[in-house]
Amino acid sequence: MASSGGSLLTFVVRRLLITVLLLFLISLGVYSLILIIPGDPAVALAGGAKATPAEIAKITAQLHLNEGFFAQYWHWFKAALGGNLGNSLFNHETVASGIAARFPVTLSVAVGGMIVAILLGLPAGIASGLHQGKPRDRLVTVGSSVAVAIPDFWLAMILVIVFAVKLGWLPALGYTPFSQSPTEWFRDLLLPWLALGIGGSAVIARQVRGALIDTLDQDYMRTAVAKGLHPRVVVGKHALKNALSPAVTVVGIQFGYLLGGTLIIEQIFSLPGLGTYIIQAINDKDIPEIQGVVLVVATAFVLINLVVDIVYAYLNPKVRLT
Amino acid sequence: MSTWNPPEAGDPFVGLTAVPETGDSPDELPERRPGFWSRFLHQRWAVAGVVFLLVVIVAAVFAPLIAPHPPDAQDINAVNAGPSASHLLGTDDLGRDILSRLIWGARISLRASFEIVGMAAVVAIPLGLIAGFFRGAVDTVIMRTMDALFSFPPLVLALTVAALLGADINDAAIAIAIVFVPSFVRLLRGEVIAVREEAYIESARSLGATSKRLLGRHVLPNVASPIIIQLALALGFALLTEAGLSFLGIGEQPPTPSWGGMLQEGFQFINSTPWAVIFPGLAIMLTVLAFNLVADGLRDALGRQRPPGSGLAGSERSGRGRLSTLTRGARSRRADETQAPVAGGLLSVEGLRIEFLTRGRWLPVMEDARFSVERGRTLGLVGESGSGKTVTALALMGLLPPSVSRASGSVRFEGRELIALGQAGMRRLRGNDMAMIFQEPMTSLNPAFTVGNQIAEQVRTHRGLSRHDAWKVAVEMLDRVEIPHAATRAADYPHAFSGGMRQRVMIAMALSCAPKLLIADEPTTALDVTTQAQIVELLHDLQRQEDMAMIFVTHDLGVIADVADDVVVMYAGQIVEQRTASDLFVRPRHPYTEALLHSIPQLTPPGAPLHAIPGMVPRPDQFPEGCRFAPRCSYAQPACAERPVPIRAAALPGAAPAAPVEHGATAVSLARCARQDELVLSGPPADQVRGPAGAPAAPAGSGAAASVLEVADLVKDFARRSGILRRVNGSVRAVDHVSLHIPAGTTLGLVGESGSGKSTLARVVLRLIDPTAGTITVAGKDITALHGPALRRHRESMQLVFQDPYSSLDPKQSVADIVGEPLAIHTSMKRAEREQRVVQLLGQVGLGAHVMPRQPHEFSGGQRQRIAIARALALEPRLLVCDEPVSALDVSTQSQVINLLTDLQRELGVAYLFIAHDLSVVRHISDRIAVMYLGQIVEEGDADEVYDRPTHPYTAALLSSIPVPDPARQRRRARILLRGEVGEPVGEVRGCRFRARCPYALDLCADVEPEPYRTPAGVTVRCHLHTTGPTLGGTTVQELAHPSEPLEV
Repeated sequence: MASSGGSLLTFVVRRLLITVLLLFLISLGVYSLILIIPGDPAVALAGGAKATPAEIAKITAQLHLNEGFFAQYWHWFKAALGGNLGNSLFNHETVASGIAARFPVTLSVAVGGMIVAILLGLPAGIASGLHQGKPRDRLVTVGSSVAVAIPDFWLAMILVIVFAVKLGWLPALGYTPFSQSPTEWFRDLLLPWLALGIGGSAVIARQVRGALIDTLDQDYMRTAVAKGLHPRVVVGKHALKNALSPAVTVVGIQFGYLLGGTLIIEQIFSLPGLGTYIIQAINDKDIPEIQGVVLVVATAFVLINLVVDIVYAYLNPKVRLT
Repeated sequence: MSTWNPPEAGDPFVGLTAVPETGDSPDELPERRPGFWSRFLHQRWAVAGVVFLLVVIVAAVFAPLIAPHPPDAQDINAVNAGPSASHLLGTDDLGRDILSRLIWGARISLRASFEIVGMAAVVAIPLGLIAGFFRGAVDTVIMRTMDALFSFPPLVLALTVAALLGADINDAAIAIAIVFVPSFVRLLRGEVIAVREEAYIESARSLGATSKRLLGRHVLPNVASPIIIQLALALGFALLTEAGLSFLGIGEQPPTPSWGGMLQEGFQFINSTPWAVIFPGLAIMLTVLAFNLVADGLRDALGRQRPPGSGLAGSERSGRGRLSTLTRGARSRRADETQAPVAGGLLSVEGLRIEFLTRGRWLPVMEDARFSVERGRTLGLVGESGSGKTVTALALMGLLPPSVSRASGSVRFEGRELIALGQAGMRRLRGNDMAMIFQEPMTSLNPAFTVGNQIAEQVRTHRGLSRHDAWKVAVEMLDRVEIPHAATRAADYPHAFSGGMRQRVMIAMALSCAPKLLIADEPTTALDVTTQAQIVELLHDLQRQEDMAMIFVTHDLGVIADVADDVVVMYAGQIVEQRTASDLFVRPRHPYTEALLHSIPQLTPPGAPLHAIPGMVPRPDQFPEGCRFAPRCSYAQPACAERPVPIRAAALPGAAPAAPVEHGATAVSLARCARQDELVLSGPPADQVRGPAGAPAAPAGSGAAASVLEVADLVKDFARRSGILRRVNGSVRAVDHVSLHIPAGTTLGLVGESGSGKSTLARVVLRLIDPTAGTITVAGKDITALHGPALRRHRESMQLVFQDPYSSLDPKQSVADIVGEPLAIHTSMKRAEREQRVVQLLGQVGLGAHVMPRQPHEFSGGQRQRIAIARALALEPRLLVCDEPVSALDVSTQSQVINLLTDLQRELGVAYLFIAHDLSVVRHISDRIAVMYLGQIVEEGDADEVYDRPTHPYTAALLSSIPVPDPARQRRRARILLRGEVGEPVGEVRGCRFRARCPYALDLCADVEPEPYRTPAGVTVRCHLHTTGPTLGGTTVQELAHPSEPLEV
């Protein structure tokens, strides 16, 4: 039987290798987006029917469209590895610098939303799971059922109506960089965080509740009571560590939904993040920009899930064997 | 996601009675479970969801008739107006009626979600089925692709694809459908893999079902429920996603209203016209909520109901209610009027009554229990599933869930009343003065903490030691329970230990604070006989060292004879007999005790039918008014059923009837039988405890009969993967040059510890697994190289009966379909003909035709095993492979099934390959016995010869591990305790596989592998002792088995 220490390392290395492979597949997928465009991409990208031959030729050369697909991809991939995601077709900036300017905004919205989701969802799920059938459990189950059904961008609008329009407590839109004024940054992002986090918290609360109820029914919980442990230890140590490890994976998946939600929410609060950037790029059919954003967002998502899986394996020694 | 209505407090009977075993008469079938619709309609929130959705759908379909205004009609007089009589929900910036636009928008939004989910399902369902069912390279390709798709945040992927495809609603729907595919495929694949592992799939394969049939008849119906639930959830999520994309301007284009598009338009006027965004958002939210409620309702109504007690033999998984409530709250128990303390005893129980709350009623599951135990002595609690023995043990520890159970009466520990002690007081006792170990060592340790941590924690709680000192105690305890390398093993997690080792860890933990009383609830039931012997010996030693009292709960009378000084026999919530172990086995005073003793296979001469108790243990709500055992008792008289029978002193036959026991009286022998003074009951005759040597059991003509099964030099290697890349880097030889033959109409018993390769051998023989080398001949035909249709055709001559009767029958099929399936596969019978044959088959296994429309979950374990046997016999096979067919059954049911198999063999002449770990069962049914160790047959010969005069040290050790159900003799026996456990034959194995555990190993054994050798008595054995050392061979090994007894030659 393998001892547990070594196998965590094996697990991490294995997981890293899989991630590298996955990132490669993702880059291939992202690049193949160009294939979806109906018709000749060069014509479409240059503006369709009204494009001049010179424009078409320029785009063809810029994107290596006259070469085979894999050759095109290879050009793009090599450059991307070096941090060069190409140039925007319409803006006079590189895609990399465009993303670099906006990514921090999107990341702070998504991470803040995640923190709200955890801060609300975790205690609610634990309280509900420990007191199954009691009024507070009803409150959490009913509340979370409603919360998962709310479209987050609609919630954002309602929050704006109430807290910005009616009450005037918080700004309805705009963004102040953290470096300029941390308090303004916080006030600008509070409503977006809440709008994103409430739906996420409902998913987390439900997951934690279910896992906790399952865990409490396990044989080893009876063992813990039979050992004469204090209920605080029985629940706080023996139940929670087992119940929370599946919740960790939900946090990882949830982060993907939050990233997507962020893109919409940014429109509502006029936040200069990747959301506004990609919507503009989509309207312009600016393929290098779209590819760049999707690649960066997907990579962030994959890396978050890598961390989540490692934390999960740390919490749950059995996982490391598989 | 879970339900709105918290599930009702668990039915305690689910655990308490386990499954009522035995019983085949029609009136003993449990109540039918209500149908799907009735279960669904009972959930008011789900019904509300359905009603809401229907209203929305009707409104959408009839939008032109229902909507008060056309969707684009502009009311110039009411721009940005609030709700009014003409515009119930107000108007938007162009003066369009919001209600009408919502109704028209429902058409777009609902249609989009159904389209999205439909497209995703059409793509994902075949992919998931293929990936999960066929596995291998196809699976890898599909799943890696799904992983890559899954790596894109869902909305980002949909947004990008939709944007590049175009911007109309159909493109958006396709884009969103792509996002749904990976999660559908993953879910479905997971479900298919889970179903594929079920025994009923393997059994359908062994019947010769094609892949198409397996997928269509077995896999699809069983994965349908999770798919349907997932689709319902996905509808809501699709609606949300579509709304999000529409809001971004991708999807249905203005002016056609969709709910998401309305939000986008409304957003621009959010300051002046808030209702233009409020109402569409509410519509989305309520519809999504309705979809989710319906999904939750479906989950509860479709949820697979796994029958209780589906674990191992006689598992009485009771009292496993809500620990969430157990860990808190006051214990709702009332102490009876104060009584004088019972004389003597570390622990004394008086008038203990335990009740469970079931469907609003308190039902007693244990009444009037009284017993006591002193330091240094062991009290055995014995009875079948449903007798109340485990509940009683849990009650002593205060471990019953307080919300659904209550105990009254008196439990005194060192003179202190525990019933009224309260949680804080109990906590100081639990794990400290009284400790408990449980049946399931695999699940009783917390998987998230190292074993050292779990032991140290208990020591720190009760002894207040420092972290460092507590760890030292933990290592010391692990060392005392003989775990090798205790200091390093303490840092391992439970999953790194085998079952036997985990039970040692549990014991180390229980004894870490030197308790005065140890309660052991079926501690060896889940373990191999050899491990059981080790654990029992260990408990014995520790008890002696600590002068500890022990309460040992078990269904196994052999173990009771081994460990107990005093025995309490329980039946249907009462103590029926109580006396010293030595008396009980010789002179039982209650007919139930006698019946239990007579059911032990070891006590029945080979060839004779086993004693079976008719009927089954009643449920607590069906306890008879009078004597509870009367309906099953062969001595019952009409008077027995009239009034409850008190427990009273059991005097010798002929003496004056004794008075009922008063409180505080200390009678040695008690029984609860109205006729105990007149009946003369017997334990088994002493000379039958081990059957007379050489009792002939060979069936007529067995010598001349042709072999039904011939196996020659069979080998099965499994690839072993490890390391970062999971590369094959070696192999495990699970079956190693095995040769067997079984003549028609005879039984070969195959025994060995778990891990010896028995089940693998069975599956290779049936060609469910492909052999690596060797030949298999069934009914004269070499089937080694058959495959495809030819192999499937040949499956009719060989059939399989599984260990677990709960998973070997497809839960979605009726008994008629199950038993008729082999006929449907292999014959051209019409439905009516098939049914006729099914009736006949059911009759052969003792079931009536009325069970045909019923589903497996409606039957008890014994009845299911009968159904499985009927199915196996449908095609009149020549060979039946029985893989542990009775080890999941209670002792009396076990007898019924064994007797049935014996009778069927006599009638039909079918040959059995009978696999079991219980040597006494194997001996009873077999003509020949083969003993397997690490993939090899180490000994094979006539059943009596092998059982009475074992020639291989391993056989001798196995035999010596079975406790003899006779306390006097069991105590005289010197046991050969096998150290260690079955290992894994990885890579090149040199020498004898058993040598590391063999007390007689020679130098030679390490280097040279012993070849099969045929002894003069006709036994084939692989052991150097017989070929090289004449002084060590023969007698020495025989003495190993029954060393303290004269050899019966």
